[in-house]
Amino acid sequence: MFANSFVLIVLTLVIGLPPLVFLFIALAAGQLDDAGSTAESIFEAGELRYSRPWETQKQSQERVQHYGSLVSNPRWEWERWL
Amino acid sequence: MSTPVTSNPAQEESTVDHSKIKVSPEEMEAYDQSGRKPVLLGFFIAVVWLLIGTVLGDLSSFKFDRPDLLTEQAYLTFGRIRPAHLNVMVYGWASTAMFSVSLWLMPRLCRTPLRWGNLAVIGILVWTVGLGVGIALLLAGHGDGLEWLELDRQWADPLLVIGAAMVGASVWKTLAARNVHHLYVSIWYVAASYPWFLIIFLAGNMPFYKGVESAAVNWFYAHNALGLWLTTINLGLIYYLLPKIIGRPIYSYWLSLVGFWGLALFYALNGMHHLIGGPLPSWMIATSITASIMMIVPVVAVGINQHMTVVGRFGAMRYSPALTLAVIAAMSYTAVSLQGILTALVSVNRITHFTHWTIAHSHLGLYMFVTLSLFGGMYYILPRVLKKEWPSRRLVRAHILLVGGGMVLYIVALGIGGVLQGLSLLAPGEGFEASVSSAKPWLLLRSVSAVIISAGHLVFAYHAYLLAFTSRNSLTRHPPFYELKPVLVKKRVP
Amino acid sequence: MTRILVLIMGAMATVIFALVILVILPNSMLSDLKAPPQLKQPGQQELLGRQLYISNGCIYCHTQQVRDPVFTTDIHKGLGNRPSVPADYVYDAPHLLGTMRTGPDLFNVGTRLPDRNWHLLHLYQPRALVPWSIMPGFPFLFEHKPTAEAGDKVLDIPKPYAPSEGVVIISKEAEALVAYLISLQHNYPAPDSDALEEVQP
Repeated sequence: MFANSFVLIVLTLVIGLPPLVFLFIALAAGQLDDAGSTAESIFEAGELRYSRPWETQKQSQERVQHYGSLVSNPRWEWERWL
Repeated sequence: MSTPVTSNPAQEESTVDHSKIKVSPEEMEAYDQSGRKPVLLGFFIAVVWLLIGTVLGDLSSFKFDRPDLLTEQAYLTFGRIRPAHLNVMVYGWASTAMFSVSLWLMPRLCRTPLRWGNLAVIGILVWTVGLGVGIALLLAGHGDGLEWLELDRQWADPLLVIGAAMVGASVWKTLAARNVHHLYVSIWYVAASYPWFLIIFLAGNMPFYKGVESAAVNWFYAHNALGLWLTTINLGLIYYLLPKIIGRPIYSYWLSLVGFWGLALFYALNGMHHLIGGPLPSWMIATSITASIMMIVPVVAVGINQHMTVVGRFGAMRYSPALTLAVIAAMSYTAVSLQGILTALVSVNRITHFTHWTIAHSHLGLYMFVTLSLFGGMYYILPRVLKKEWPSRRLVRAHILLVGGGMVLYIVALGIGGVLQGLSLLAPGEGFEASVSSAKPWLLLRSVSAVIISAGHLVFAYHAYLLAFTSRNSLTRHPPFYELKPVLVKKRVP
Repeated sequence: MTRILVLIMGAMATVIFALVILVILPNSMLSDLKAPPQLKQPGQQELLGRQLYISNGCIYCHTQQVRDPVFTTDIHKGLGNRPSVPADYVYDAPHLLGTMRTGPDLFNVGTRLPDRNWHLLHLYQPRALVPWSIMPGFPFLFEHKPTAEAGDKVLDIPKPYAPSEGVVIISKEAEALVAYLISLQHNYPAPDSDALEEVQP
C-alpha cells in the first residue's frame, strides 16, 4: 500500500525540503531583512507626504516626523477620483 | 551559510535597488496603461457575468417560495439554475474580475509594464468561451455532478485551464521581469494563486475517482477554490488598497508573511469539514477539523495586520468608496473565517450541517468578502485605467448601500433560518415537515434581500457603463460618503 | 531569484502536501475496498436514473448519507439502521453524498418508500402527495399528450393537479429515475471485514 511505503517519505521530503533550503538561503543572504522598505515600496514618490483630510492633528504630525513636511496631493484624489 | 547571491558584485551593481527609489506618479500611470486592454476586457466580461448570475440567483431563490415557478422546462429547474448561479458567480464574475485585478496589480508591484498582455487577453476570452460552453451544457443537463466542479470536463474544463494558464503566464512573466528586489506581500498572494488554481482544478476534475474518494476530491477542490484562489487574490488586493489609500505602510510585513504561509499550509487541508459525520475514514475528517482550527493563526494574523493599518483612520472611508468596500471586505474575511472555524466544530456542525446556514456562510465569504473587495477594486482601478472619474456619487452611494444592506439581511435571515432548520432536523420528536416550515419565512426574507442586492447590481452596471462608454463629466465636489458623520474617528481639530 | 524559488516551491509544496494527504493517500488506502455482497450493482435503467438525478441537480437538496449516531439523530429519525460506510459507495462515480437537507435524505428511500406509483406522481407534482413540500415538480420528465396511444402508461393525477386537457404519459426517463430511487436501499448490516473496521466512523 502506497500510504505505508518508503516512497511516500522520500516523496514528501523531495517536495518539502527544497523550499525550506531556499528560504534559509534567502534569510542568510539578508533578502528578507529590509521588511520596512518592502512595505513602503507600493507608494509613489511623495505620496506619504500628502496631507490627508481625514487625519487628526496628531496623525498629521506623525506623518511629518516620518516622511517630512506635508504637501497637498497634486491630483486631488480624494475629491476627484472616488 | 555562504551564498552566491551576495557574493556577486556584478549583479549588485547592475540592479538598482528600486525599493529605495520611489516611483513617480507618471510611471505608475504608465504601468496602469500597459495592462489597459486585458484589465478593461476582464472587468467588462465580469460585469456581464455578474448580471447573468444575479438573474440565476434570484430565480433559484424565488423557487423556494414558489416551488411551481417555471418548472415546465428542464433548463429552468432548480437543480440546474442553482449550480449555474454558483458557476457563473465563481468562474464568471469573481474569477474574471480577479484576472483583471492581478493584471493591474502585477505591473504596479513589479514596476515594469505588463508582459504578454495580449496572451492575457486571449486567455480571458478562452476562459469566457469555456465557461459559456460549460454553463450551456449544464443547463442542458450535461454536468459532472460534483458541486463546484459541474462544468463539463470534456468541453468546458480544458478551455478554463488553458485560459487561466495564459493569464497566469502573463502574471508570472511580469513577475520574472520585475524591477524590484523585494516582493510585496500582494505579489505572493497573486502569483501563487495561479499555479494553485491550476493544480487543484486539474486534480479535482480527474475522471477516475469513485465512491467516497470522489467526495474527498470534490471537497478538497471546492474548499481550495475558495481558499487558494478566491481568497488569495482578494487578500492581495486588500493588502494593496488599504495601505495605499490610507497612506500608511502595512502594520507588520512579517505578520503578513505569517498570514500567507499559514493560509497556504492550513487552508489546503480544510476540505473534509464539509463531510463531518459522513462515510469517510475518520482520520481524514479529523485532519480537516484540526486544520480548520489552525486557520485561526493566519486569520488572526491577517485580521490584526489589516486592522492595525486602518485603526484610528476609519474616517478615510468617507473619502473613498474603494476603501469603504475594502475595509468591509477585510472585516468580512475575518468574520467568515471565524464562522468557518466555528462551523467545523462537531458540536456546531451537528446542527448547521445540511442547512441554509452553509449558504449564508458561503455568501458571507463569496459576497461580503470576495465580491465587495472586487467592487472596491473596480472603484479604485477603473478611473485610473480609463483616466476618467466615476460620474455620479449618488450611484456609488446607492450601490454600496443596496448591496451591503441587502447582503447583511441575506446572511442574517438565512443564518437564523438555517439554525432553526438544523435544530428541527436534529430534534428527535419532530418530523421533516417542521424543518421545512421553520425555514420558510427566512427563505422568503432571503428572496427580498436578493431583490435588493439585484437592484444594487443594476445600479453598479449602469454606473460602470456611464463611466466607460459616455463622456459625462462629474461635478462631484465631495466623495459619496462625505456627509456621513464619522462614528469611529475622533473629531479632527482644524 | 531565491525569493521567487521560495515562493513557487513553497506554494507548490503546501498544496501538494494537502493533495497527498486528502487525495492520494485515501486513494491508496481505499483501493482494496470490496462491495458488500448484499449491495446490488446498478443495472442499466438505474444508471440512467442516476444520470437524471445528477443532471437535474437532486443533490442540491438531498443527501445520501447516514451520519454517526454519536452526535446526530439520523438513525433515530429513521434514515437508516446504521451509519453509512465507504463500502456502501463503491459503485458511485461521481459520489452523490450531498450537502443540503432541504429535502430528506435518500440513502434508504427505497426501503422507506417502495411504492413506484407514489414516486411517479411525487416527481410530477410533489404537492399532490405532500402539501407542505417545497420540492419543484418535474413535469418535463413526462410526456403530455392529447390522448393516450397504445402501449402508453398513463399517470393517474388527482384533480386539481392534472392538466385541464390531455393525459400525462410516464416516460422512460421518469421510470428510470424512480427505479434508481427505489434501488437506494442500504439496510443490510455494515460489512465488517478487517480492512473496513479501521475506516468506520
